[in-house]
Order: sequence, then C-alpha cells, then structure tokens
Amino acid sequence: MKITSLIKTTALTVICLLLVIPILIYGFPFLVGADGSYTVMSGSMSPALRPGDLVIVKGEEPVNVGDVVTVESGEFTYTHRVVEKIEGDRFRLKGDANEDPDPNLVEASQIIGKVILVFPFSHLYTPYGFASALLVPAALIIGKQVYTIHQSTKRRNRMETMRWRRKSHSALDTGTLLLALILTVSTTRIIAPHFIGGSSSYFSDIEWATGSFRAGIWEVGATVDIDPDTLNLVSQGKWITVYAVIETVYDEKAIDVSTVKLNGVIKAEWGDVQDNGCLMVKFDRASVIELIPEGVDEVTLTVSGEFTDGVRFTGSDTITIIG
Amino acid sequence: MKKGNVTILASILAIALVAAGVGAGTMAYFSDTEKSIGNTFTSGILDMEKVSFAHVAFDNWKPGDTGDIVIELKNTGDYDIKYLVMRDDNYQVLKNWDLGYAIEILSITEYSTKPTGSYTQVSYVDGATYEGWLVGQPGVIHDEHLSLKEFFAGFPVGYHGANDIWDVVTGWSNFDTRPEIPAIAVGHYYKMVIHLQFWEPKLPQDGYQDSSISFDWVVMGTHADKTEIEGYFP
Repeated sequence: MKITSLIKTTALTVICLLLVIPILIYGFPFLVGADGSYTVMSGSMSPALRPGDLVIVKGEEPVNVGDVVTVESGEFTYTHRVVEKIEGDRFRLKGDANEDPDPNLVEASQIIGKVILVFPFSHLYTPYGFASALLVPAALIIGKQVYTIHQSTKRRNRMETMRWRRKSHSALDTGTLLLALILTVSTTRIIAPHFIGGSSSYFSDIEWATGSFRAGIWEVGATVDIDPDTLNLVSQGKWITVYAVIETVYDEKAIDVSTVKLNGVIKAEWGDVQDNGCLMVKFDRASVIELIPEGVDEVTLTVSGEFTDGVRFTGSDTITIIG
Repeated sequence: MKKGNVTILASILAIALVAAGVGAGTMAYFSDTEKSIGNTFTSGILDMEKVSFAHVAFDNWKPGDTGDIVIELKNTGDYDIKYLVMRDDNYQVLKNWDLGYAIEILSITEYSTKPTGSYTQVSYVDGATYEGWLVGQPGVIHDEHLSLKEFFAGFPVGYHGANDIWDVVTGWSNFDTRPEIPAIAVGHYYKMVIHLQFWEPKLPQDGYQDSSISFDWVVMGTHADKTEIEGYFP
C-alpha cells in the first residue's frame, strides 16, 4: 500500500514537473541560462521546428553552420538555420522548408542566439491536439463537477448517507488537479504568443533563369565616291580612285587596306587612310573596265573591306560610262 | 455553511474557471488557424514554379532586332505570394563591349493569370516613360534609352542598387499597391514580358559587333507583404 502510494506520488510529481517546467522556462528563460524564449509562428523550418513549438534561445559563440538561430531584423524576429559562414562575421540563413537561402546576409550582431532547447508544443495547434489538450481535460473536469453536484444533492436513505459521508468529496481531487494543470499549460501556450515572444519566419522561394546576349557581325555602311565620276572607256589612265568615308565609331586607321575590293573581285592595288579619316584606295583601271558590261550608260560599283578585327564595311557609287 | 453546499460551490467555481479558460483558448486557437502572417501561426510551404523562364538566349543579334524576355511563374505552394522582388546576378561581359548598354527596353507588360488560363493584363510600361524612373540616378550613361544595363544597375521603383540589392521591378509586383489584385493566389500565374530591342542602325553601335554578355535573372516571392518584412531587405 505504501509503495504503491510512493510510486503514485512520484509519477504525479514527474508529470506535474514535465508540464510545469516548459512553462517556467518559457516565462523565465534565465532559469536554464538562456536569453530568450520564442514561439515559432510559421512553418519555414519544418520539420525541425513546427508552428507552435517553443524555442529557448541562448546567445553563445561561436555560431556554426548547421546551428538554428533566432535573428532580429528591425521589428522582425525569425528563426532559421545557418547554412554558410561568410567573412566579416556574416551568415547566410535558410529555412529548412524553403528551397533557397534567405536573400539577405545576417550580421553577427543581429543574432539573438542559438536555439538550445525545443519544446514541441506544435501538436496543440492541430485539431486533435487542441481537442486532447484543451477540450477533453475541460470536459472531464466539468463532467466530474457536474457528477459531484448531482451526488451531493441526491436524496439518500440512511445507509447510503453513511457511506457517502465516509468518502472524500472535495471538488479538487488529484485527478482534477492534474487535468486542471494540463488545461492551464495548454491555455497558456495557446494564448500567450498573442502577447509575447513570437518568432516569425517568412516563406520565400527563388526562381532564376540564365540569360545571354550575343551580337552578330554586320556590315558598316560607307559613303563612297569614285573618281572619275565619268569613265571614258577609250581614254588613257592607270587608276580608278575610290574615296570612302565610313560611318563608325571605329578608328579608320584600323582598316586593313589589303582586304578592300571592288565588286568583291578586284583587289585594291594600294591605298591608305588619310588624316581626315577618309579611306583612299586605287584600283587598276583596265581591270575595272573589264567588269563593265558593254553598251551601258552608267554602272554602280561597290566597295567593301574589313577592319583589322573582322568588322566589314561596304558602300556604293554610280558612275557614268562614255566612249 | 453545510459541507455539501461548499462542495457544490467549489464545483460550480471549477466549472466556471475551466469554461473561461477553454473559451479564451478556443478563441486564440481559431484566430491562429487563419492563414496569414503577423501575430498568427502559419504552416505549409511557399513554392513557385517556372512556367517559361528557364533560359533567355539571344544569338546573332543585329541592330534593330527585337525580342522578348518572358517570365512566367506559377504559385504551386500553399500561400498567396504577396511580394515579388527581382535582381540580376553574375553579370559578365564575355566578349568585347558591354552589350547591356546597347539593348534597350521598349516596354514591360505584366499579366495575372487564373488557373483556367485566362489572362488579365495588369500593367504596361512604355520605354519612353520608363526613362523617368532612372533620372538622376547613378549608372545612367545616356539619355534616350533605358538599357538593360541601367535596368539591372537600378531596377526602377524602390531602391537603387548594385547587383546584390533586391528590388521591385514594377509597382504591381508589390501587390499591396494594387489592392484589386492582392497577390498571386495559390494555383495562379504571373507573367511579365520585357520587350527588348538592339539599338537601331546609324547609332554608333558597331563596336558591339560580336560582343556578348551573360547574367542570371533572379526572382523571389514571399508570402509576406513589404511592410511585414521591412528590415529583411538591405
């Protein structure tokens, strides 16, 4: 009888302590040497921390990769895991349930502390948890009290009254007290975060695309003047001279004269870029005359060439043919 | 007072206390289970998926050529996305000149899309008026066009910043400013089309021949609106 009673008392004490200790630490984190207690408000750290869990936070060094830390950022407090330590005492954090790390880096001074203890109270926020921690104990207590009231107002004969008086009929028996304790703890946990110590956390997701642009190669336009303007097929002469002004930001000195051609076939005999940026090249007159179809009054000739880096230019001029 | 009456009184008191506690707890519980952030509890995940935004590549561009960057995202998570921010990353000039200066943004159009696929155009910004967004800001080197480079250097509206700063691209992507479209609701789509053009001919763009650049275009969505996560952005 005595041993049973001892076991009963011990079990009861343990249960009471298990219920009371988290609430005590929640209210007075310094009891375990911690610096703060926070209620997890959102699920971005699932499954390690679920909404409703109670985290106890201690400001201790060093903060390492893998630690779960509570951070103060403006008015905003959140709890995420350290995934990278960056030079200059900065940290990259990530919510376990987020696909990507947080976009901003956290300074060491913003870290309130590491999570050293988690009390899993999240079940209180599920319908079953809410029922078992709040509604069922409440129903049991109320049921018990209704029964007690019913019993004490019941009419009894003499024998029954004798038996009734021999028993204890306190409204506050051990079972009721235990249920009341459960109820108090649950209610505290559900109501308190509305007023104190919530550690929010945000959900975010990042998507990205790689982009690239590559410019092609195109021909640069040139204003071309062919000299002579009128070509007399029977007169004598050695050269056809071409002047070309190229509309570009390039340095015309970078034109490779050896690439300059007339109608894409006749190579320039010689030439250079004058000080005013104008290209002057000379073509063999006899070769140019060979290009001109018989019987035409005028002909358009095209000059093209390249800069030393491969950029091409092109331009045309029309000359009159006589003779 | 008789002992029986004391018992009854104590019981009634206990019932009253328990009822009060349960009442308060229940109220708190039901206000918690609403899906929002702030002083209330949230659970689930936020997830965006790329619909058409994997790789943006324009090859062999010549002056006058045009093209579109299309960012289309689907909210595949459990929460409405209330805030979208973007930035560029790993911007590199791979060859010759910085082509970013020669690519001009003609317009930006945004759409909100329902799960059924019906589109609603929610904003259109023309390149010409866009210029005003960057006036007086560092990084603007010419007057006539808003180039891709300038767009990256200081994503218009909101903060101006370097590459590591997140920014809102348009007024609409901070959904707070558009109460009629509160968010990218769960299962809904968001689409942004950025219409680009390589500079028209006759501008001094020859130096851009065979130039190339590469970059990452990063988009982040959160379930909090801007005021709720103030301090979270640098």
